[in-house]
This record gives sequence, C-alpha cells and structure tokens, in this order.
Amino acid sequence: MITVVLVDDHRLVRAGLEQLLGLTDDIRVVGSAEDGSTAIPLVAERRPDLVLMDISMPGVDGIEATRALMAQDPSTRVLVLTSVSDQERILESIQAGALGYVMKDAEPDELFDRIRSAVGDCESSAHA
Amino acid sequence: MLPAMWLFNGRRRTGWGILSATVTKPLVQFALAGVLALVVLSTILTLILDQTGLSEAISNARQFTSLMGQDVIQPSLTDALLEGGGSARSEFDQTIRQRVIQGPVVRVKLWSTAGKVVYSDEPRLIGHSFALEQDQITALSTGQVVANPTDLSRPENVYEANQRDRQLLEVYMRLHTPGGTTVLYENYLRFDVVQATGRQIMLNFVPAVVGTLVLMQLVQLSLAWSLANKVREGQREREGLLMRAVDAAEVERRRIARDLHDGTVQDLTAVSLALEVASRQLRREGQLTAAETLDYAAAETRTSVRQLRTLFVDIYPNSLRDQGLEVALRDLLGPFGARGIATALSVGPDLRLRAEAERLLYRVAREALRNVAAHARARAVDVRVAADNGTVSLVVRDDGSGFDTAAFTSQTTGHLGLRLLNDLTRDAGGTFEVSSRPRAGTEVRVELPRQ
Repeated sequence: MITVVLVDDHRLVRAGLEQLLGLTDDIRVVGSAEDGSTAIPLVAERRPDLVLMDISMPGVDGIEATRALMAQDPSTRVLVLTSVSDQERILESIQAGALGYVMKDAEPDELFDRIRSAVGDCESSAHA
Repeated sequence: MLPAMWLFNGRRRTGWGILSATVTKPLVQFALAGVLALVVLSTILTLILDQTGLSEAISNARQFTSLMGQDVIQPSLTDALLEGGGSARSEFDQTIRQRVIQGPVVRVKLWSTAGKVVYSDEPRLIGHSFALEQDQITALSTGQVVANPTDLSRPENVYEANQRDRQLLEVYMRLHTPGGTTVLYENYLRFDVVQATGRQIMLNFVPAVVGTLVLMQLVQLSLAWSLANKVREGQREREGLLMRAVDAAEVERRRIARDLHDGTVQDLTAVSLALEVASRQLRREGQLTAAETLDYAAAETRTSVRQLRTLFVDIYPNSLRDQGLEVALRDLLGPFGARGIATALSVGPDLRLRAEAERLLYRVAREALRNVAAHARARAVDVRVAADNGTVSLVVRDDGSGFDTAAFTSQTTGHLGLRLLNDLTRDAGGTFEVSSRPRAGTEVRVELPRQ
C-alpha cells in the first residue's frame, strides 16, 4: 500500500483527491495539509511514501516546503501538483528535491500511474 | 505586383523617452527661415531706403538750387548782362565764382527763353544757342525747379568732358531780370555728392530698421522656443500616460491571471475530482449509465481547466517574463504545429532588448498569429526577429488567404488589435507595416529602436 500526504490550499481539491485516491486498491491518503508550514511536521509524523505537493500556496509555498522536507529527511518523496504549466516554477521545485510533477487536470489513471512510478522508481533504486 | 502595404510613422526616434529631436529640428528650421527672411527683408529695405535717399537728395538739390537762385543769382541779375555788357558780365562772373562754384556745383549757365546761353562760367559757351530740352521748357513754362541726370552727349555739355568720370545732376530754375525778362538759371551738381547725401539719409534709417527686424526675430525665436518646450512637455506627458496605461494593463492581466489560478481553476479542478470520484463509485455500484454521464462531465471539466490554463498563459506569459522572447514566441507557435501548420522561428543572437520593447514585440506577434489562426487558412507561418545597430525588427509572415488592407485602415471594420498595436508602436518611436493582398499571404512587420 502506498501512503500519501496531500498538501494543497484548496479544501475541495484536497477532499476530491483524497476520495479519488481512496478508490484505488494500493494508494491511501494518510494526512492532508493546507500549506507548507503545516505539511512539514505532518510529514515528519506520518512518514508517508509520497507527498503530493501543490506549488502555489499562501505562506510557505510548495517549493519552499519541498526544500524544507528534503532538509528534514532527504529520503522524502515529493511529487509536485500544479494547475499551471509554469516551466520555471516546476524546474525550481525539482531543483528543490521533487521527483517530478503532475498536472491537476491530468486523467485520473495518469495521476495514479505517476504516484506508483514515483514510489516504485525510488524503491527500485533503493533496492538496487 | 507587389502586395499592398501600409506604412505607419516613418519617424525614427533615438529612444523610448527621447522626443526632443522632433521639436529641435523644426525649431532650427524656423530659426534658419527667420534669418533668411531677415536677410531678404533687410536687402529689400536697403534698396528701398537707397532709392528713397536718392529721391530725397534730388529734392534737396532742387531746394539748394532754388535757394541759390533766389538769394544769389536773382539779386545779381541785370538786364545789362543779357545785352552782353562786359562789366556786367565780369561782376556777375565774379559773384558766381565766389559764391556758387564750390561744393557740389561744378557749372552754371544762364539761358534766354530762345535757347541762347547768355552767361556761363565756361566763357566758350556764351552766345551759343541750343535747342531747349523738355526739362528746360517745363521749368520755363511752369516755374517749377526741375532736376535730372545730365546727358553729357548733348552739344551744350561739350565742355563737361572733364566730368565724364562723374555723373552730373542738372537743375533748372526760372528767374527774371529787374526789367522783367525771363531767363533760365541752370547749375550742374556732382551726382556723387548728391548721392552721398542720400546715403547719409539712408544710413540714418537702416540701423533702426534692421535692429527692429532682428529684435522681432529674437522675440519670435523666444516664442517658438517656448512653444516647442510646451509641445515637448505634452509629448512627454502623453508618453507617460501611455506607459502608465500599458503598465496598468499589465497589472490587470496579472490580477486576472491570479484570480483565474486561485479561484476558477482550483474550483473546476475540485469539481472534476468530485465528478470522477462519484463516477467511479456509481460504476462500482453497477450504475453504468450514470457513471458514464459523470465520466463525461469530469472529462469536460478537465478540458475546461486546460483551456483556462492556456488562456491564463496567454494573458500573462510567464515564458516571456522568465525565459525571454524566443521561448515565448516558440510557445505561441506551438499550437500551429499541432494543427499541421509548418512553423519557423528565427531569433537573432544577443538581442538585449528593453522589457517594454520585448513586451511590445510579443504582443504584435501574438496578435498577428491570432489573425493567422483565425482567418488565414495558412499552410506555413514564419516568425523572425532580427536586430542591427539601433533597431530591432519582428516579421510575422504567412502564406494564407491574405486580406484587403483597405479594411485595416478603415476605422469601422475589424483588425482593431493590429490598429492598437500600430498606435503603441508609433508611440514607442517605431514603424508598423502590414502588407497583404487576397490569396497572397500577409506580412506584419514592426521595427523599434533598441534602446
């Protein structure tokens, strides 16, 4: 089972994603946060397999939060969620430590696959 | 046949905020024209004053002769002189030589009404008769004092050969002897002395007249300078207002983009997720028809989010802000490739443009490409940006259906976007051209000063 923490400032988006991921057999949401500052202690506490991180949030945004999570635990896996194809911001978040990104309007199956491959790739490389 | 072309604003300025050249040049032209007018007016006035001075001098010569005739000649005239008396002539000759032949007067003659010289300081003339000239007849018949330049070729002037290098002025005056006999007094005055008098009169006026003209020119220049400054200030204010309007539009774009991102896009994303969840739950419960409907609704919602995202990028291109003009132009061309339209992009190296110029070029390219996408039915579109020493140019060319450029210049038809960009380009000191004709493609060309 892949455990996920959701970080997004939009309550309905968090709720929708939690329910959608909950419909899969192998992905479970173990926590959600509305901004970066809340996410950092939550991730430390729940130790999920993956953090789905929105980029644009008030206060501590996704890029800063990713940087902080990497500083806190370099093995944390972060997949960036974004609704804007802002290449520069996506590149920044990857430089901060994110594994990759997925658009919020992606097809659900694509979202699931990106989550599985992000966790799988890391596990493969960890086993290797 | 070349495509029809509309060229807007051939003016070139040296920079975005520098407009003084457009004011200084007319001012210099005005000053040069003023100096030229001053020279021409001064020349004309000098000629007029010269002529006036001469006329005044001739008038003075007549007055001189009139006074001489009344005060010197008339009291000395005797009937004996006319009869040829030796002592009478001797006394008269002495008076003439002592009191008349001096200064400007070089010759004196006394004529009978029949044209006989009854006296002259040149004795060889005395007793000779000549046909009277019209001036002499006029003086005798009217009593006026008549003056005119001397004709040295006439026989009565044969002894004036030593005066050939000088022009003479002859002045006639009617007189009467104590016995009542009418005679004609004539004296010859040196023209150069008379003219010098005229010149002196002229010189008294010329400095005042020319000085007044120079003063008027200086006043006009001062007014023109003041007007030019006001024009320049007006231009600066207009440019400032325009730039503030453009900046305000940028701020508004950012606000709309932020609102779209933070509000509508997030809401629609949440809706699409909720629809997707509901669809999957219904599918699990075996309600396939309802599930399919929600599937469709979720997919449409995601499509709407993508379209909004495209719009968001379009109204505020992050690529232009973050990655420069070339990347932003490539993003604009992206959808053409997806539609099977061949695209080509060429951006010269080392452009180093001001942000304002970059934004303006981007807007022109975006508007031109929108027109290509909407109307041109093109198979290929080409965007080129190049720079030389002082200018950067953007050309957007397609091979589509073209259009009648008369519609572009009309205020009542379409192409409002291009016309607005034309105005912006002009105000940025650049040129804006649209070349097109039906079925021959379209070329939009913009040139801007780089700095």
